[in-house]
This record gives sequence, C-alpha cells and structure tokens, in this order.
Amino acid sequence: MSAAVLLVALVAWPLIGAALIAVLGRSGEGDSSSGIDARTLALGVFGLEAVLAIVLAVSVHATGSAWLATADAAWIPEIGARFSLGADSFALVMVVMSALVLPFSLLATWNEVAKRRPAYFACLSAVASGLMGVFLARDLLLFYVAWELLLIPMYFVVGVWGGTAAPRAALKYFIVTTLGSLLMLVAVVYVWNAAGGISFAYDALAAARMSDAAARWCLAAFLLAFLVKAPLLPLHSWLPDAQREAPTMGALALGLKVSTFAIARVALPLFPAAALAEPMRGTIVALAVAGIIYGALLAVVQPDLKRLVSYASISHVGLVLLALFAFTPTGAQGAMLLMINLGITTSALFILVGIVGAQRGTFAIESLGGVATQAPLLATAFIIVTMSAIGLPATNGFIGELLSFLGSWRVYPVPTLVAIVGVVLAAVYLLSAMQRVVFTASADVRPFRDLDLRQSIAMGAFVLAIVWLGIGSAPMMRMLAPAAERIAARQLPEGRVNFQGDGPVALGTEGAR
Amino acid sequence: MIADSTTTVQQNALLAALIGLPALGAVANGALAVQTARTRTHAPDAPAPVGLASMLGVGSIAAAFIVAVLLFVQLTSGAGAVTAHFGDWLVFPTEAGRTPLIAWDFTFDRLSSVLALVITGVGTLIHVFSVGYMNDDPGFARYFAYLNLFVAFMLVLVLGASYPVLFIGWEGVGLCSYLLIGFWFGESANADAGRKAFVVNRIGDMGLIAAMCILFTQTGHLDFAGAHAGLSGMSTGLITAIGLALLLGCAGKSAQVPLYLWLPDAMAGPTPVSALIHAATMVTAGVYLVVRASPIFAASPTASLAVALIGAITALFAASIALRQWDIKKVLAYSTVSQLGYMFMGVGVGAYTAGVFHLVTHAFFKALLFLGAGAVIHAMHAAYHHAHEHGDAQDLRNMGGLRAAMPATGALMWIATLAIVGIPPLAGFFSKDEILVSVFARAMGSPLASASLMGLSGQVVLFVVLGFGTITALLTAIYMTRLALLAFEGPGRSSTSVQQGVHDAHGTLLWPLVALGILTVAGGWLNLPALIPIGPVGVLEHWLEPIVGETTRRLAPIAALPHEQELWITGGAVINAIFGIGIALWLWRRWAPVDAHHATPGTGFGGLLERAYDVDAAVQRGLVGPVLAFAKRVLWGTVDRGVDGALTGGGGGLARAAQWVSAQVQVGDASRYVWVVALGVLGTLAALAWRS
Amino acid sequence: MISEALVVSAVLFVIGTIGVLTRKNAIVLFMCVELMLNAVNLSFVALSKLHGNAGQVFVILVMTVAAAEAAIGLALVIAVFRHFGTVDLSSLRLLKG
Repeated sequence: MSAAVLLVALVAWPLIGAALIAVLGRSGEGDSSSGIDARTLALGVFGLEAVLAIVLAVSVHATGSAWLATADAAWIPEIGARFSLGADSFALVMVVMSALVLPFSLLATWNEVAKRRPAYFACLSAVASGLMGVFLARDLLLFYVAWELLLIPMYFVVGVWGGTAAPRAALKYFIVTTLGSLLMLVAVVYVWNAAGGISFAYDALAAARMSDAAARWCLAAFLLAFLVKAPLLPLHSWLPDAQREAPTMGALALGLKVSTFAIARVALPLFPAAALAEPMRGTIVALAVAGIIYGALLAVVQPDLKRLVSYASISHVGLVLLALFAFTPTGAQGAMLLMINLGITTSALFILVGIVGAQRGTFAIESLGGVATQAPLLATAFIIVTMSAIGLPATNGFIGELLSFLGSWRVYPVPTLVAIVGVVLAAVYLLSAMQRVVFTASADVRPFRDLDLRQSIAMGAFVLAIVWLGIGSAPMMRMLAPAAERIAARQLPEGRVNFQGDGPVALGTEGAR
Repeated sequence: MIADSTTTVQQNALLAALIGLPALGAVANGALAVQTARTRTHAPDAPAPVGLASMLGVGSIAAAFIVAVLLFVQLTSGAGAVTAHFGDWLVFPTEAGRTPLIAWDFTFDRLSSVLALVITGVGTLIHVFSVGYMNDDPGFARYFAYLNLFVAFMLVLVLGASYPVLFIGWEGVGLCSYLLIGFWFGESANADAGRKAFVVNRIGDMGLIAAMCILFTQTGHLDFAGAHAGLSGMSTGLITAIGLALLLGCAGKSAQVPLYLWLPDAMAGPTPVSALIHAATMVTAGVYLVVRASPIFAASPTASLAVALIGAITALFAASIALRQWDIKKVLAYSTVSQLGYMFMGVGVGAYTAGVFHLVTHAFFKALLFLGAGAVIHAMHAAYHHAHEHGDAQDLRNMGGLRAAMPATGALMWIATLAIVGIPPLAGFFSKDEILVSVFARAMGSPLASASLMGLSGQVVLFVVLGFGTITALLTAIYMTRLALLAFEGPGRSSTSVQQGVHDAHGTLLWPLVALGILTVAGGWLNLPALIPIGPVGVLEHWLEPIVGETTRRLAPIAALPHEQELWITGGAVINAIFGIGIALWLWRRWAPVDAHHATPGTGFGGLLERAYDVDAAVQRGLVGPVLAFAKRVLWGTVDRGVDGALTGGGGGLARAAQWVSAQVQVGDASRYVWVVALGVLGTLAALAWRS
Repeated sequence: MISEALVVSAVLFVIGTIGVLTRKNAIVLFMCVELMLNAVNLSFVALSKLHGNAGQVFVILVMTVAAAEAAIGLALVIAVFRHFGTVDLSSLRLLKG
C-alpha cells in the first residue's frame, strides 16, 4: 500500500466507519433487533485505523524532503483548494499516538455508555477523522474543515452523553471554540487573498506578502482559535466543565494536544516574523507560566477528581506553550514530546478516574478511597500513571518536561524558574489525589471490582507505553529532531520560506533575547 | 557522551547485573504481592508468601552485593573505572546544530564503589533483619518489592554517569520512600507522612533541575565528565549559582534545614525502612551528589561555605530537638539529620573524603541503632500483646532496664551509642574527628577562609561551623546516652507483666546487628589519621584520591595543621564527648520517672524542644494554610468563577444587548415603523447628496 | 411667487410629517397624510408654472389616488374600531415581533 493511499485512508476511514456504525450498529442493551454491537464495530474502526497508522509508520523512509509521506488530489480548483495531505515525523508520531490511544480507551470504557451507542461512536469516529485531518493536512482549507469536524461532533459527545450539567458545558465549549474558529476563518481568507487567491497550500500561503501589522493580526486570529482550545489562561474555563461532564472518551479527546500541534504546524510557520513580535509573544509566555501555577493551585483545592485532572491538563499545557514560544530546538523537542506523552498519560488518567467514578457513582474525592486492598491491579496502574503525570524520571512524562526546561531556560530563565515550581505543585495535587483514591480507607464499604480483562489489556498497553517511552524513546527522539529544528526556526517541512523577501529565517539568531 | 571504547560486554553484564538483580527482585516480589492481593479478595486470610518473597528479596540484594564485591576487586587490581553503555536515552537538537545525547551510561568508579558496597552490604543485612521483623505482616511481598526497587534506584543514583541518569535514581528513591513510609496505609497519617516526604523532596528537586538547566545552557553537557570540563569557561558567579541550586536539591534529599521536616515524620514507616533509607542510603544521596559535583563546589568557595554552614546549622538545630524526644525513633531521626549536617560540614569545607568516611561509618552505626531500636520495638510489641495491654512500644518512657532481658541487643546498642558519640577507637570517633580537624585547618587559612558568604568572611563562617560542630558533639553525647540509659538501664517503667514478656533479639533479628556491630568497631580503620597510626593511614583517602584529590586540594588549607593543634582538637573532642556522657549520667534519673501513660507534655523551653520548635505548625499556619486558602477562595472562588462568568455571562450579555438593539425595531408599534421609514428616507437622501 | 408657494408647501409637508410621526389617533394620522399629499400638490402646481402643464396633470392624479386611499383607509379604520374598540395606534401591536 503506497503511503499516499495510507494517508487518505487514515483520514477517510473513520468517516466511512462512522457511517457504518450509524447504519449497522445496534443501540442499547435491551434492543435485540438486528445489528451488530456498536462497540465491536467501533473497536473495528479504531483498530483498523491503528493498524493503518502503524503500517504507515514502519513503511516510511527518511528521504531528502522533510515530508515522509504525501498525498495530493484536486478538490476545488476555482479557489485553489486541494485535498493535500502530508506527514512529517512529528505529525506521524502524533497520528500513531492518537490512533493507538483510541482503541485502547474504547476497550477500557467498554461499559461506560449505554444509550444510543451507534450515534455515540459515530460521533467519536468523526472526531477521529477530524483529528487525522488536522495532523495530516497540507492545505489550509482542508485543515479548517478538519478542525471544524473535530469540534462539532464533540459538542454532541459532551452534550448528549455527558453528565447532569452536560448541555450547558457543551454549549459553552461550542460557543467559545467556534468564536475562535470564525476569527481564524477570517484570517484564512485574508491570507489566501494576500497570497493571490490561487492556492490554499501551506507553502504558497507562507510566501504571501503582507504588512507586518496585517501579519500580526492574522497570527493573533489563528493563535486565538488555537489557544482557546489549548487552553491558555484566561480562556480556559470551558475545559474543566466540558471534561467533567463528558464521557471518558470525550474527555480524553478534548485533552489531546491538537491545538498546540496546530500552533506549531500552521500558525507559527505561516507568520514566522510575527511570531517573534512583542508584546504578543511575551504575553503568551507570561500567561502560559501563570497557567502552570494557576492550574496547579486550582487542582490542589479541587474536590472533584475529574476536574482535578482537567486543571492538571491546563497546567501541563502551560509548559508546552512556554517551550514552544521559546523558539529553541531543545524547547521545541520538549514541547513535541510533552504533546505526545501528555496524550498518553492524561488519557490513562481519565480512564482510571472514569473506572473509579463509575463504580463509586461519584467523582468527589472525599467519597473515594481504599482501592488498593480490593483492586491491586487498578492500584498499581494508578500509581504508575500518577508517577508519569508527576514527571517521575524513567516515565514518559519526564523527558518532555526536562527538555522543555532545558530549552526555555536560555531564552526565558525567570519564567522557566516559575515553571519548575509547578513541578512541586504537581506532586502535591497528583499524589494527594492518588493517595486518597488508592490508599486511604473510605467510608464506602461496598466491594470494589478490580480491572476486568478488557480494562487490564488497555491499562497494560498504557503502562507499557509509559515505561517504554520513558526509557527507550531515543529512536523516536532522533526522528523528531529535524522537526524540532524546523519549529524553532518557524519553518514548514517543505523547507525554508521567505517572508517578505527578508531572506531565509536563520536558525538561532532570532531565538536569542 | 560517546560510548567509551573500553566498554566491554563483560562490563555491561556486571553493571547490568548489579542494578538489574534488585530490579528483578522488585518485579518478582511485586507480582507475588499482586497475586496475593487478588487471592485475598475472595480468601481474606490467605497468608503472605513469606518464604518465596524473602528468598527473592534477600537473594537479589545479596547477589548484587557479590557483584559489587567482584567489581570492587577488579578496581583494586588497578584496572580503571568500569563503565557500561546501555544505549541512548535523550536525543535532542540544540542551537548550535549539534545533537547532544544523554545516554544510559553507568560508571563503577572508586567513589561509586564505596557507596555501592554500603548500599548492597548494609542493604543485605537490613533485608535479612526485615525477614524476621515483618514476618507476620500481610504485606510481606509488597514490602520486599518496594525495598528491592529502592535498592535498584539507589544504585542507579550512585552509578549514573550523568545528572539526568542520577536524577532517575534520585526521584526513584523518593518514590520508594513514599511507598515505604506509607506502607501501613490503613492509617492515613502514615500515607500523609509519605506524601510530605515526597513533596519536600520535590522542593529540593527544583534546585537540581535549575542546576541542570544552567549547566546545560553554559556547557552544553549534562554528563559529569563533559559538564565539569566546561566549568573552566564560566564565571564564578554562575558556578556559585549552580552550587547553590544543587545545595537546595541536596538539602531536600538529605534533610537539611529548612527541608528536614519530612524525616521525623518518615519514622511512620517500618523500622528497617528507617534504617536503610533514612539513615544509611537515601539521605546520604545529597552528600554523594556534593562529592560527585565537587568540581563545581571546589570552583566556588562561596557555595562550599554555604554547604558547610547549612550543615552546621542543621547539626545543632536537630541535636537540640533530639534532647527532648521521647519516641526512640524520633530521637534517631533527629540524630540522623544532625549527623547528615556533619557530613555536609565535611564536604562543604572541601574535605570530601572526610564526608564520605562519615557517611560510611554513620551507615554502620546508625543502621545498627535503628535495627536495634527495631528489635526493641518488636520485643515491646510482643510483650504488650502477650500481656494483653496497650502502650506505645516506641516510647522511651515505657522502657527501662531492658538490658537485663535483652543483653545482646543492649550491648550492641551501647556500642553503637559510644560510636556515634565519638569514643575512640570506635568508627564514629575517627570520622567525626577528621571533619572537625578539617574545618579547623581550613579556618586557619585556606581559599575558603579568604572567601566570603553573604558579607561574612569565610574565616568567621568556618569558626562558626566549628563552634556549632563542637556544641553538637556535646549534645549528641547527651541525647544518645540519654536514649541508651532510658531504654536499657535502671528500673523498668512499664508493668511487670510487660517487662517479663520482653525477649532478646534472635535469629534474623540478631545476626545483622552483630555484623553491623563488628563494622562499627572496625570501621574506623577505613581512614585512620596520621596522628593515630594504629594501622594503615588514610586508606579511604588514597582510594578516593583520583576522584576528589584535585578538588580537595583546591580548597585545602594553606599550611598543614601542626600536630599539637591536631592533638588538641582530637583530645578536646574526646573530652567533649565524655563530658556529654557524664552530663547524661548525672541527669538521666531526673528525666523520665513516669511512663508514657501518665506523662504530661513539656512546658517552657523543654516543651518547645519536644515540639521541635513548632516549625511544622508554623509552616502549616504561615505557608501551607494561606496558600491553600488563597487558591481556594481567591483563585477558585473569585478569579475562576469570574473568568468563567465573564466568558459565558459576557458572551451572553453581548448577545442579549445586540438582541435588545435589534428588537427595538420590531415592537409592533406602527408609528415606530413610520419613524424608521422616515429616517431611512432621510438617510438615503443624505447619502445621495453626499455622493454627488 | 413660486418660491413663496414652495415654502408654504414645505411647511405644510413638515407639519404633516410631524403629525404622522407623533400622533396616535389613526384618523388624525390620515388627515396628516392628506396634508402631506396636498403639500406635494401645491409644490407641483407652483412648479408647473415653470416647467409646463405636466405638473398640473400630476396634481389630478395625486388627488385621485388620495381620494381612493382615503376611502379605503377610513373603511379600514372603521373595521379596526369595530374589532378592537380603539383607533389608538400605540395599542395596536399585532405586528410585534
């Protein structure tokens, strides 16, 4: 199978799968009418997606060009939009990570959603397709479509299948992210127009001639759309509500760091000089660092376990943004690793929290407890995943953190110092939560079931990933190194881009302060 | 760091075995523990797999010890350090276009050999002791899993050839410490103590991470060899910053002021854990790091002075608290903090060998003290159980006269007490003496004395350190003798039936004590001073010469100390110690006539010491409480709600305002509509007029 | 002469407009509309002196339309009064929303 076909399949298959699930799936437990169990169908869809991703990953060879695999087809020639996909090493790793997280999360949350399963999994498949589209798009209109495809079914996932306060949380999520996307659309059209109105391809748009001020406004529009979803303080307040109410797979899909990927892939390379402009860059860095501390402090005082994980996510994203906007290769590598590993760790956390909450009927921390004696597998998994979230060395959470610190120290020593304080706070809130759930005896004396077979397989996969990526990630890091250099230089994978004829963006000269 | 061309498969295998055997033991015991727990979900009284777990647990560490000895012998035969390269770990690009790499490199050099032998040797003894101590604990397999994992991580710490690899071990032992302190997690106070240890350690880790950042930014290396080679190009101010950041990290791990608060609480864990982790190994990691990073500290006299001063303050502070503690383990805990302060004093003044020497001797006699205390606690527990009574088995006020019932334990504890007090020719005397002499020699003239710390001249600081050290020695003599007297001598203070139920340690509880006792007596021979040539002089010093020789010389005294002065110091120390013992002997009967049930909390200064200067309460009130309240009320209550309200309410409000504006046009009032028409006509006319 | 007539016409028109805008009674509204129409008629007649008889023809046309519109409008007003009991425009809000 050629790489191009694989790329297209990666984006298209989940959509086809969504239709299959909607049509063939049997809803609910009691409905014994014809149809296949929607969960099995969904597992098939996600499983095949994962296989496709792995096949793609092993079949690419490092060539002279930075794109490891590309696919191109005509789409809307009148305005210059093409169905153009491409994977560089960073996108490839993100694709593989997301494609693997989905089926294993499904296994772990097998019994979570009971009503209208076909529609639920159809929405999730659509979201998966949008994910892949965002990771692999090389055409800005295609990217935008994929971005919206990511957002809209998620609204339904959160709103329809969520908890009691779900509709309001879903609405908040939708309004806030759509506002950002609309602003981004304005910027997309402006850039397209500035580039001559003939193409939506990233490279063509990156060569557009714009005044400095226009470039800054466009970058601001793009960044606003992405930072709302990241989330960055103070645009974060939708996330805890949405993740709290969403079913587990919805919550972890919200937590995949798609938006920071989009910043690195779309926003920064399109406007390389504007990305360095103060006060925008400094403000983002300051807000990111504030978010690290803010998210951590709020996580410390949260009584709800799911919201605690959400605030922890906000805290971690702050570090990703700090490392990204330092524009050093080391920092960019750290940011990429954080994005990849947080996708794994945060998903595992949400799954574990979901398992515990489902059995106890509540996410209130003080009502939980005493899992260790009755569920040793769950307890062990919890401890390992918590250690990864804390950033214990030898887990995957550490490598991204360390490189982010090393990378941003040279450019932003004081903010990095503040970010390091977040390390302490992370230990406080995560350890307290883990201790409360796993060790402390609770008043609830109902028996607690340990992980069943599906959940054990899923958590085993996550734990394996955590340990393996913590110890043996050198090959992956080697693969990502060129992508890191490109991010730091604000380049597209195709090569250096001229911006306003100022000459190639040189490595290292603009990163210094 | 590119793999050394002399790395051989055999070296890889030996080092892999050294770290891997305890790790395998941990995994095996962990599997056993999970299996036992799952069996217990339907058969709650299933016994713990004591036999298998102890074989795996003790066996893996004993095997690791043998490997360590093999490697050590290889070193003594003149071969260079054994290095192993197990592949790459972190690969990442930097500005200069290079792609540095931090690899899985481990080095068994002379310094790590000393520590590895202590870790695996004393570790084996403590594992053997644990077999007896934890015999009827249902979590037996889980205990050995954690303990083995700890040894594995500790070995990673001392064998790592770069700061990040060391950091793996550093954090790993922190994790195991958390799990072991909170081992009996049914009692939430235990798990809380574990969490406190982890969090306070993490505060120190901030310093270590910051140090790594500065080092990497300046030298582009994080492996010891590369980073230390790059120091020559750096300004002293930057090197001092690195040193101080490292000091923060070491202070957290080694429980120095102000990050010592976790160690006394850590006594909530099983006593062998306290012996291994909080006396012999983990807490010494900070001292090891200072020695390993000695090029940094030797290049910055200011940072070294800071290390020494912190050590001295800690030593005195902790010793004062130990004077009035009633829990036998708490006394030993504060004693450990105090002795760690001594080690910091030693390495702070650049006497790296002296610091390591005290580390080793302290491991011997402190492990002996803790294990002996464990034997006592074990015996008291059993006695209370048999007598069907309740009482705190750890409270000194419930003990007394135990030497009659526990002659072996009592004798060994007395030996350890005399060692820590510094009575020749026991181990503690030589190591303590060497530190004090080193401080004095440097105070009389050295690069340290000429430097300054926060405005104070180095000489002043060094004399303060010396003074604190001397007073601490006196206090150590007093409180340790007090402990031994209260526990073992005089009339028993618990009921007769309890006293009769006390039995001496035997079997696995006794033999490790004996072994440690021998080491305590003989340990001094590791590094005899030239002044007292009763055997080979300075064995350890010569052993560590290739590693710390040059850095020691950088901070060495300008002129060697004349023998008479050295004699005065040494003699003075002995007299100091004997004086302390004397005070204890004189006062001890007035100290605890009542048993713990009827005791009242102390008042005045004594009460303050009992409560450890109320530092915990102050931190809770002044720092933890306000921060949590701030987070809860301000950040969550006001800011977050406010931001959320602004986003949603603001967004909604905007929409509603727009709706109001446009709704004005649709009120259904005909005359309103006419107005609109009229205005529209006027507007159109105006536009047309303007156009033309 | 023409300018005076135009001024009077403008004044009448403004009076009529203000009446339409501010009066609430439907019948008064119609009277004001008639006033506006007649003001326009006046200006047509005045200007026809300058530009020919087309203006006067328009006056006839406007008068016819005005009469027809007044007839139907007043009939509507009577029907509204029969249904709602009032011809106060501010209380008739069926067009609302």
